Amino acid sequence: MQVNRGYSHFPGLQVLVMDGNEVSKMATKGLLVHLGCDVTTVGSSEECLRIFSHEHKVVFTDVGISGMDGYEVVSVLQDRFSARHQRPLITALTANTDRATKDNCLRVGMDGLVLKPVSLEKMRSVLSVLLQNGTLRKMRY
Amino acid sequence: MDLTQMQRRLVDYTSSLFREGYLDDQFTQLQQLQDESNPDFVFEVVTLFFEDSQRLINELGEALDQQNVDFKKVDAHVHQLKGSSSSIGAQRVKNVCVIFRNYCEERNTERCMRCLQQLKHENSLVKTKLETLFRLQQQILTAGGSIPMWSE
Repeated sequence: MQVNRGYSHFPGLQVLVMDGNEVSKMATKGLLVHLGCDVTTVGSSEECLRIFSHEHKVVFTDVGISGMDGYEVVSVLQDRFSARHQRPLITALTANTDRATKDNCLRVGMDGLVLKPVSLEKMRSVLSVLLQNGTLRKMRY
Repeated sequence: MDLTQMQRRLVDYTSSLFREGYLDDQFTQLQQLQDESNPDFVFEVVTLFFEDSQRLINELGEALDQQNVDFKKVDAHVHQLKGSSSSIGAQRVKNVCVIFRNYCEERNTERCMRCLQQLKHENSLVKTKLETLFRLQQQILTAGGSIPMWSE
């Protein structure tokens, strides 16, 4: 992914993080909070769908966690959006970078795949690229 | 020991943890997230890790103690431990997990059990090392000093 230093801070950006690993989830939350984001964390796909609201502009999701398939969550979230609402930017945040994972992420229409653990600089770049290239560019967040 | 000596000792000790492979860059990343609004972030994440790792090690012991080992279950636990150790930069623990998963795939009970012993050992080692690190940091703070930034 091209490094983009357009944004260095993301005050008030509402982010939802889905990760079945508590330690990993806490680290990711710390990272995003440090960048100014307003972060909600969930531990399962079911909880993700229950908690998700239209206020969440970015969703980071681990894939292949137990319970409902993480990819299915993406499809469900995308189906929820009518023409009046812009769908969230959904990125896989996963330790799996095998071909199958990448293909599945493409298949369900994710906006990106990021290898974890992710550095502060990398997360800053990921958010910056997502927001500059996605539909959030004209919206206040 | 004066403040400068304590700080020097902390820097040297921390450098040794990276040099000896106990920690990797991810630990440094966590350090960068600690600030006035989140002053105990690293300690909190590390504490959570050791609660999690102990639970997973216990579950691995039970899973490998079965007559018919469920290697999918064992692999799932190791996968979790790999993820969490990776998240805090506990490199040696993570590396054992990588090897462990290979033996799960081979369904090799004996090798898996050896990996579990190694996991217990590495987990205990890094726990002791980090406890020392936090103690050295606290000594400096109690003496009115600040924690020096270090590089790996």
